[in-house]
Amino acid sequence: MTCAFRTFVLIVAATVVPSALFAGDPLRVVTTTPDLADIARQIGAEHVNVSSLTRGTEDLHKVRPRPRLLNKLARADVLIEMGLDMEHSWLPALLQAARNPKVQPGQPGFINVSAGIQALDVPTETTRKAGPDLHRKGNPHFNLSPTRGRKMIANVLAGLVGVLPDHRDELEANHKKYMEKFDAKVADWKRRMAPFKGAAFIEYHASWAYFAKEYELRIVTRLEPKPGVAPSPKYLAEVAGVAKREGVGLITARPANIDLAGKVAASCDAKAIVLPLASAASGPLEGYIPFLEHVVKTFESHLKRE
Amino acid sequence: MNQLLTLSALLACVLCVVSPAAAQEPTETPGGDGQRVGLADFGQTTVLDSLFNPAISFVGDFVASWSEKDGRQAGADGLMLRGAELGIFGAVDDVVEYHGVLFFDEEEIELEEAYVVARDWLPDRFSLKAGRYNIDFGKQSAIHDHDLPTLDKPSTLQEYIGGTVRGSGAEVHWWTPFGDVSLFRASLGVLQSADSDAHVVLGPGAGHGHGDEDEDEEGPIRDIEDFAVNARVATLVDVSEDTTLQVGASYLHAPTRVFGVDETDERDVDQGVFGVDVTLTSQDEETGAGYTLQGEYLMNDRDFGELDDGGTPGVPGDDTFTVMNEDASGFYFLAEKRFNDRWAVGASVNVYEHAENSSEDSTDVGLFITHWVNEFNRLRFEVRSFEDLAFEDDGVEEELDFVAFSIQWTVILGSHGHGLEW
Repeated sequence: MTCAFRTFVLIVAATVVPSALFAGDPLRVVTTTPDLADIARQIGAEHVNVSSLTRGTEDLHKVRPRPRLLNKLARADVLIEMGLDMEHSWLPALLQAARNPKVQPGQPGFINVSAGIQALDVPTETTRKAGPDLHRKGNPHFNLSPTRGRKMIANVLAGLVGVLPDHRDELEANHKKYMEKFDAKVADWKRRMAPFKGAAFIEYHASWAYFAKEYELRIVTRLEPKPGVAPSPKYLAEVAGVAKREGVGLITARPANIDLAGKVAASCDAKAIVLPLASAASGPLEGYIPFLEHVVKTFESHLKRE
Repeated sequence: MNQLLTLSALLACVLCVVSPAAAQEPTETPGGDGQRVGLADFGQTTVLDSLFNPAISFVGDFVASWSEKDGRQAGADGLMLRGAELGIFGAVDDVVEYHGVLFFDEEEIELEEAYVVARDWLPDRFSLKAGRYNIDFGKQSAIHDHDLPTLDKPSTLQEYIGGTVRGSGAEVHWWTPFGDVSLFRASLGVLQSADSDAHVVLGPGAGHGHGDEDEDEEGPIRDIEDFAVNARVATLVDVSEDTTLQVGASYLHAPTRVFGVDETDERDVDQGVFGVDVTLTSQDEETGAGYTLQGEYLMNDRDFGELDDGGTPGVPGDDTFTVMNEDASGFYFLAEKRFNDRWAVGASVNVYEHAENSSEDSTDVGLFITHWVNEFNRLRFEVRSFEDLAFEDDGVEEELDFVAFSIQWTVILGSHGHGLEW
């Protein structure tokens, strides 16, 4: 009985994937972030119909699983995720409930763009004493580094070629075209950020390590004493002291903690700014390149030169 | 002889050269990337390998309660470990997962749940749960106590189904997308026995209630027609990007056969509960702020058996066993406002007719503040006012009015669920 059902499921999977490929309809690609949606659109062009499960403004660790997300996953031909446990609190439950064999881990339709990414902030000891929100596999916000962004984009290309092998040349050509634009911007960002080498900033939660490494900036401290631990007034006073001493110009925060960031910034001649950790699904920050441009511009405007 | 010596010498040289090389080979990774790897990477090196151990969680739920005089009479005061819950979860093979939940309180250990779940070998978004588990009924019945939005299961659920209905059986689940932003789900279960079982601190089910277990022990062996049946249908609609509306209906039919005046006198003492529930949840995912509005209305149709010894205790000949039926209904409503992902306040109200006497009813109203210190550590303060709470002391029934203040501290160690709220 079991064997018969498994065979049935395999046959369904084996027939559905090619039929999707040869039906001529665009492949339904679902991504976990708008960054990935933009990259998939740039590379897949008319062969993909892409939608993102999030809008870019959410805390990507705490997305509420809801019907519209489940339905998208249930009907998807391809799922592209960030990985490194970025989506650990909501995607596994959705994947399990969606029961879509095409996008399960291990299938060609499951693309994890963290493959081959060298993670930063990998904890040396895995105990919650080091912080309740500790990321066991390291910091998952590698999209904030253009260098790792190149790898991310390459992973999307490889994944899409895997499910659209007949369109390899076209996808590679789209990728090349996109990379020309991307690399031009990367060079521009590098030039603009060069004067800020060694400049100090503060973040709320461990998020900006990749960006800081890319441009040799210093994250002098964080508003969270440990990942997932809310700061006490005493700790915030210590942070303000560090900020003054280090000449911090910018404190990055999320909407949920901008008030705290603002209080510290007010005491040390810095600017507290809400900076998203991904591009937006619509509006001026739509697209991976415009998002990174916004990030660079923000840092450029507020960092103090060494 | 010389040739033999020469051959031996050559062989020795070859062995000397080859053997060190051969000895080093296993230190290379199979992929040949040249990196030396530890002994453990070559495979199992212990008798009991822990690599495939299941996920484990251990939840502690501590409660401190203070109340007025009548509340103390109802046992509402004290510092207590409401429960410690040990969860063990993992894949057995490529077909089934096995979930086990053991509950410890200050007096006993209880097997709350032990069930297998099969998904992938069933087609079309069906899944099967089999074993002992909390049945799929309404919104709050199946939730484990430490996951509740309030200190206890709503009193209305306590009164009619004992808070949680748990049993041994099998339950089939299915769902399907309905347009882009809504879905429909259904479940159907069959249970050998349906026992009510909640670890209630305050309310009509206070104390460690075990529902009709006593009746089960005293009754005859169950036939197939005595099996309990439960069913639930629900639809979830995203009315906006941030807001989801869920409307559901649940039914439980729990036939029970008991001995009447003696073991030749088998009687049916059945219970049917029908419930409808509505939940509106909204969450701003930038800040974690949002709200939940939830209501559940239950209609309870229950038989009660009453043995009358005919005025001559110890003489069974004049005993009579009467089965009576009582219809009762009640509801609860809950409103919770979350200011961010750490702080929430809320209120809930229960109004219900007594299951055994619908001419009497009870009400309680509560206010609560919940603070998540972090994802694994939660504090809650709750004040609840009970009016006409039914209480039985040495066979004498009375109705109590009191206000109780409670502090709940819940800690989670290890793996914990991030499931769907449906």
